[in-house]
Amino acid sequence: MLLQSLIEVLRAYAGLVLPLVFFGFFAVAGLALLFNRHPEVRRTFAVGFVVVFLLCQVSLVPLTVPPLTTYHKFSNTWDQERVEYEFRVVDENGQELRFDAKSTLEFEGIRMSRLHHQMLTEYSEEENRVVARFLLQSAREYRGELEAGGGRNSLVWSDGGVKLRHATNFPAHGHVTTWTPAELSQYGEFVGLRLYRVEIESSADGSEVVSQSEAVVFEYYDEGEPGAAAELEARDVR
Amino acid sequence: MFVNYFADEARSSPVNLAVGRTILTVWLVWKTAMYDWNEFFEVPFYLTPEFTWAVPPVAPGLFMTVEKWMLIALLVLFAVGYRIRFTGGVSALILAHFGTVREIQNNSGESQALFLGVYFLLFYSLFSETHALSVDGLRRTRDWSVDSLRSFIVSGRDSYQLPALKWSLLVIAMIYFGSGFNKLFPNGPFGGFHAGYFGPVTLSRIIVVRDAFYQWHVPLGPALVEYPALITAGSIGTLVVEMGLLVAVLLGVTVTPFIIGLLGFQTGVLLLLGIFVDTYPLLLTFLAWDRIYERVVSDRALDVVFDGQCYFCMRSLYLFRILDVTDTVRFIPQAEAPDAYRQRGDVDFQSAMYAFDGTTAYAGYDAFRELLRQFRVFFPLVWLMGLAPVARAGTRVYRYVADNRGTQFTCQVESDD
Repeated sequence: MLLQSLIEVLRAYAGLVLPLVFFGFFAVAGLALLFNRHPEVRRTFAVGFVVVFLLCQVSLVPLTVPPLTTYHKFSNTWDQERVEYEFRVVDENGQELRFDAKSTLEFEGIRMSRLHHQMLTEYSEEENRVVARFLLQSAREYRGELEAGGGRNSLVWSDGGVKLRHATNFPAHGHVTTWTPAELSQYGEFVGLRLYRVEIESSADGSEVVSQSEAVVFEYYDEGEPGAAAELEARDVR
Repeated sequence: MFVNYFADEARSSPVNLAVGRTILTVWLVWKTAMYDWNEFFEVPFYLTPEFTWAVPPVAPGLFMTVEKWMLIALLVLFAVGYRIRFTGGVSALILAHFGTVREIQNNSGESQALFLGVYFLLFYSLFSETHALSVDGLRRTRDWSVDSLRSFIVSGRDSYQLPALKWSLLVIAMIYFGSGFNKLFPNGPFGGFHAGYFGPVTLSRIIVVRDAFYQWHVPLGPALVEYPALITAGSIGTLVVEMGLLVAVLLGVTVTPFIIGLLGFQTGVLLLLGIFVDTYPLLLTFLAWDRIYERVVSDRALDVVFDGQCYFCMRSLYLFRILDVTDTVRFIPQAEAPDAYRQRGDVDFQSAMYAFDGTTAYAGYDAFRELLRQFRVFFPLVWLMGLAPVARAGTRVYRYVADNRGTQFTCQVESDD
């Protein structure tokens, strides 16, 4: 609890503390490497690292900062009623296609769940439009690459439309919602983006989804706001 | 099959450490070469602004791209074992920088895996003196006396300490332990116990909700939740392999079932949830590659007669001696060459090194080719060396080196006696 309070206090100084931890770690590691002929130096660094690392792994240090990390996966409890968010691109015919996050970056793209949270709680309406415009533009570019026979990721699932040579690319982290050229051919030009809130209720034993509902919480269209789109082109909300 | 280096960090050869360096390098080069840093900085927002201190203030895309190619070059040098302390240490620093910057936009396993690579690189570098099968290992023989070198070439060594593999095994075991521990105590050790993974509900819900929400085309998950006992076994099995690896490591018992379990678990995650966890290469560094290699090398008996007073000649045999893990090659100083070899009319020990496979005598360049053939893993090189133009050039180079070894290279040195 005390440590948690301390972290909350230090959070205000993250811009100073985080680089200090990072470079401090490598300063110590550098010294250990420099004097690694001495067994006591090697032992001290190795044991020290393992102790700190273990405290992070079991969450006794409740915050891990680079270069320390954890691999805590699927440990949060999943309630019977779960709320998710998802982006969908909208084509000129009004058809929707779930956004492929790999449009933004290699392997997995930006962290969509974090982006949803930021858009719904932190960003202003204008900032949300900047984000949406970027995502829409990324989707168009990525689609163009895929349709031209390119691709940024090898696929474990493919409809055969992805060329074999892309199998030599490093495997993507996430393989859900992976666009393929054949799938994209069923859609017209992308003209907008929607953010959906999806409520999923599963049965008490977790074995089936008993209900699912969705609602649009944000949408953006280039053509709907031509002036705004031009204005946003040069904006950056960083 | 997999080695618990915590129980015993000594092996009869340093092959596993060299293979570990190679695996790390292939994994990290393959992964980081794909990063498009210019594209990364085209994203007009930062999702985790706390890490923006890691962004280069000027031309970040160019800066990180230059870093990327530096990293790749350093990793290749690290793989061959050249100045491991430096190449491994700086690679670790650059990789950590990559991980931090990527976490600005995505803190998933894709970015986190980079930090695991950092720890492995650091431990490999910390114990740089133990990399015998490396360029550094060869360079260190400069400090050996001619007698020590001859003794090593003739007799080899019985044991090699591989502490880098011990500590990196401990790190990967701790990572998985933390993953399992966090499933039982999701809010920390004092935040309450969660028993969800001891029954089918939690895992079933994760599978069906993800199946309903994400577009994942493998219909295995929904079919499996029809069998709650199977899902329960999968849940508990996940905890057992994640947490059991560290227990097995510390107890000094076999880690094989746990590592195989983790590889299976990760494959299951890919099949059920469509998530690829790229820690496979890290786990594979603990495979007993030396045992596999022992089965690959040829079992023919090969005698190599070398100049036992020539420092340069013996240093050139250093790596071959280490690679001879099954002792099928007998390295014999000229002074001790059997009469049967001395009396042959087709040999001149003063002019070249010789290899004898029982019937044929191979001189100089061909002797080296036979040595490489013995270890089989170099078969592409052996084939290449057999091509007429390569063989002609190689023979000339050997001849030049052999004829000038006393003037151009350190050949004769004082013995210990």
